[in-house]
Amino acid sequence: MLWPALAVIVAIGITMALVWRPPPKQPEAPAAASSASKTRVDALMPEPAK
Amino acid sequence: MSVGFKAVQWNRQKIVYDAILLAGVALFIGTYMTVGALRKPPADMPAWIDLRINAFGTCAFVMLTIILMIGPLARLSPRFLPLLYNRRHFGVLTFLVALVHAWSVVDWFSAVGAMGDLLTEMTNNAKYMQFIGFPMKALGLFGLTVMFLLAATSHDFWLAFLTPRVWKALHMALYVAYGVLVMHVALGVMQEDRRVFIPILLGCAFAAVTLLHIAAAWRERETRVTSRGWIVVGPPESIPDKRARIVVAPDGERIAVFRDGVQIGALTNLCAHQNGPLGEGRIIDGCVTCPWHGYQYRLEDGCAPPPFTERLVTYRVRLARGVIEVDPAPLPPGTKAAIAVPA
Repeated sequence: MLWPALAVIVAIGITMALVWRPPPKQPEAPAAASSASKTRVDALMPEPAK
Repeated sequence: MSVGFKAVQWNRQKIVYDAILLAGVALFIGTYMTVGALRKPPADMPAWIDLRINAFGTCAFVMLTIILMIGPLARLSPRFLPLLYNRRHFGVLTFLVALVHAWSVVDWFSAVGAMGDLLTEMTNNAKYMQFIGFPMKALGLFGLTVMFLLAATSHDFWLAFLTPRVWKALHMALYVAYGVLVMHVALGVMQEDRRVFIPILLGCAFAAVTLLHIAAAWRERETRVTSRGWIVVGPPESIPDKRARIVVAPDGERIAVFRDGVQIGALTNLCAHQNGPLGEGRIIDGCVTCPWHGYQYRLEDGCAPPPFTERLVTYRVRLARGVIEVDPAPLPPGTKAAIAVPA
């Protein structure tokens, strides 16, 4: 009974791995990424002389 | 035959088998990498290594699937027996292909300067508590370790050292390794690559291995037993000449019932050498010949011809109302038990 049990466990494993697959990653919006980067860089920049 | 020791008993059939194997592996990997490179040209060295990882990994998985299909296919039809011969070399080559796959993974992490990430992934205990996100490389490493053990102990020396029973039990671990490697693919590439053919091919490979084993086992269940406990084999002509029909005793023991012209005899299905499937062999030069390594036994008494000394368990057979029957009670090894039936 060992081998049938192994086959059933693997079949359940494949099914779970397929059903619980995470959704495909959405590509990052380039504008948002550059905005965030810019904000972080800006924070490090010294205040312009007035 | 068993007298003397030779490192590798090469013959023409083994050389042809290995040549076809090597050519098949080279063709598979070459085609995979060429098509992959043409479809999406790798931009840098890590991309090339990535392609190599996929090519060798896919090849190793396909080879392992084929290896596990050979046994039940040979039990279902003698046409597949040539594949059974020299299957050990098939297994060792599969391990080497899988080893290149694993080495390529390490090579990739080295090329991108992220060896620490590989170590972190393998040793992150929290990930081992997850299902999706389980460290799939650990599954691959487990499968590779089992394949290494089997490849390293494939030589006859280990068979003698471990005894055939332990050796065969150890080599059954390949089924566990296959199950783990199926999950390695399901939790690895199937999670990263959304293309639909990956789960389909993975499911079909696993289903093919499973269904073939069920079919082979189901066929052997079709055993009829008389009221006095003898197993019904069938009319003499239902046993192919120079070949055997395998029946299963109530205790699960397989018995190979051979016919050599008008002579019919029953032997254990386990070869004295490596527990090979004797009933899948045939009669050559008047002797029952194991399909694995050519060990030979006389049909009449299960003894290897002189100067060899192996002896097999035999079983009584009789012809009752035109039907061959076998007594499932084993006789001492080397006992004469074959009968002659009317031509």
